[in-house]
Amino acid sequence: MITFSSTHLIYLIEAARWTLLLSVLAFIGGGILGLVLALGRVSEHKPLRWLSAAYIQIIQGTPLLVVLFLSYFGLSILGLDIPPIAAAGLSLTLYTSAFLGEIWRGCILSVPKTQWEASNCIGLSRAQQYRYVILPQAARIAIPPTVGFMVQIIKNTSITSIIGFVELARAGQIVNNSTFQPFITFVFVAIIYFAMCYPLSLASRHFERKLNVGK
Amino acid sequence: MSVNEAAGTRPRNEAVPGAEPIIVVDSVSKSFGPLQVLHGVSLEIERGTMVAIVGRSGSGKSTLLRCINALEEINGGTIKVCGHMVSMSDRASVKRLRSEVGMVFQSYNLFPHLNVLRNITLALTAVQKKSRADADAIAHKVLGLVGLADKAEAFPEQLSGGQAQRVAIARSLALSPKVLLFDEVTSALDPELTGEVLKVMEDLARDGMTMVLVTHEMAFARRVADIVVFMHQGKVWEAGPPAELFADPKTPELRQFLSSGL
Amino acid sequence: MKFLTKMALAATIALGAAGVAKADVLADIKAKGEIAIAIDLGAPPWGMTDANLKPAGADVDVANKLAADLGVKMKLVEVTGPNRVPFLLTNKTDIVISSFAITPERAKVVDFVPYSVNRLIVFGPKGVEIKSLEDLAGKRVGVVRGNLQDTELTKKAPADTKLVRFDDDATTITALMSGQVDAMCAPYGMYLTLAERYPAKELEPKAEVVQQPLGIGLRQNEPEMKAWLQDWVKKGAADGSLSTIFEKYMGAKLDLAPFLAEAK
Repeated sequence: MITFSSTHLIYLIEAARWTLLLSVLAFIGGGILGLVLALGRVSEHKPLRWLSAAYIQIIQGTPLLVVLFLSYFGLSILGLDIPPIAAAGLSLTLYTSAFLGEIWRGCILSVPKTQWEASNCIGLSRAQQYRYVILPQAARIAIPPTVGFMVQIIKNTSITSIIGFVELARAGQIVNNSTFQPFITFVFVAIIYFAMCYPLSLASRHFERKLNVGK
Repeated sequence: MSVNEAAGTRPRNEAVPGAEPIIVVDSVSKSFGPLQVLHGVSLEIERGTMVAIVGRSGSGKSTLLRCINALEEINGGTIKVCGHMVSMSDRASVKRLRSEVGMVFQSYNLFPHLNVLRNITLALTAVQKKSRADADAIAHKVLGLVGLADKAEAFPEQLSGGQAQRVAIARSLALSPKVLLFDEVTSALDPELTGEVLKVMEDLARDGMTMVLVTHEMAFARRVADIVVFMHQGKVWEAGPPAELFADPKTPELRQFLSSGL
Repeated sequence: MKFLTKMALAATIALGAAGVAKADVLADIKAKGEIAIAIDLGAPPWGMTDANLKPAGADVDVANKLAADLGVKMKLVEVTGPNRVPFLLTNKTDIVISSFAITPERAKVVDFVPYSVNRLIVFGPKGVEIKSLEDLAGKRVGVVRGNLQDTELTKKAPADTKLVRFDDDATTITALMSGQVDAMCAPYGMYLTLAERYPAKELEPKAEVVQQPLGIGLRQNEPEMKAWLQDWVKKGAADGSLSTIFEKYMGAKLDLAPFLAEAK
């Protein structure tokens, strides 16, 4: 009879490294592409606005599972074999970018129009307006929803088990089906997830304070 | 040192005779969709003068100011500022305009995430490409002129309305504009705070800055402005020196406006 | 996981209809010296992990034997229920030995070589009165959603049986242990494991449900591989080696005869 032991706990923690890695990939890739999309959505050029909007609609309407499936198995059938980490990274990036793009677009739009006017009147170019006036203010507004979404991503990485990643949730299943001690197993899984998400909330509060100088 | 030397314009009492008006508005019309707000407005503003534009809400005064500053696209007529035509579709003309004309808004629009000093030096470094040291020096100078030398490190949130508005004036002033536009800058302030802002504006006028203000401050306009323009229903209804206009209104509309104490 | 499986299957059928070219996988494997076998390690007693989290279970033993008999190394590819077919069709594994039930749906896209059976029973604590499937009326029975237990009992159990569906075996077991269900339906080997682990509960088998043939999954159009596998299974059945493995985890002898005849 197998009982939950430190071996199992270590197994869970090691699996959590995948969860962490995939989340980081999602945030970096999705963040960069998301910013591009957000700026595209509020651009002065109609084609850019249209392209970003179309991309966001398509990705937001597609389940992450399907994106993942297509990028790993679908591409494979077409003859393009990419390693699981690339498929996962790509899918999570596409997925995250669509949502972050919309979140950040909203934050940019919530900077008062008067800020655009004032910065325009002192002669700043559009790029300078973004850099010095609009984005810093949008960033402050963006922190709570962005962190909220990142916590979602950390949990959503469990979907990558379908392409073979033994990440934290899947590891929990394996341990559970080995020990038949679901309570201990999943309490530890929950603790580890919490340990990954909590620093995000702390960082969030820190950055809100930092960007809120003067308040 | 006078405000003007910091700002770079000629003192008032040395106005060049026969010089072209610094702002020429010719038959400008402007509509917002189906609503026509300006009906062929024509106006000339001489260098070194203070022109106060008054009228009821909806008379088009703010719209006119915003058109002059290329914040609204005009539908007819022309605008010429500092000798060159201005049109929003001509990016180069707008860029030139920004370096010649400064504007102060009713809600001051300071950048909340930057302190007072940085609010002022931002354009100096980013647009006029000055060094940080030079920019800081100019900023301190203009802050002194508006009486807020000790507030350089403060953040906009920590200022009173009157202080914030004075910083906004300083911010425009620092860029050495030839013209300053004021869009109802005291309307949002508590009465006890308007005085400090009006004083700064009066000092600027005395030092020869060309100023165009949309305002409800009748007493101020009467006392300080060189010309008062009364707008009504999107047209220039009457214009002239305040003494004449206030003492002897020629049209019933102006008479009614003055008597209602607006 | 039923929805996932259906979607995974549908997508792969759609994409895999592109057809796999005839290939001599067996020769490739022998040349490489290694065979990739996909097993789900979260499906006891077929695939699970031991105290050191090393692979264990009936399918693991069968896989090891197969590799040894073929004279190559065994590379275990970890899969989950829904991605067994996709992994096979996209060449991420050579074969699948993972409590793979032979179903007509699956047989459309992959080939099977029967090698074992899934003996499903209903079991529960001593106090619960169930002697046959008819006695399930009015009782709460736990099954794993979308698995064979679910489909079989949906067909065979009386109309007023309350089938409670869970995501995996372990969750179903928790429900049984906590009394949220009166009995559960699962492979015989599962009952054995649980009876050993929770003697206080006095679990006992209640009713037979079905014996479902399990197959080694391989891609279509691989005649050499298929022939070798069928031959290997016949030998293993004859000399009792496959039965020994089966008995270790299921507590009964393996009778493949009825299914070998059906092999394609």
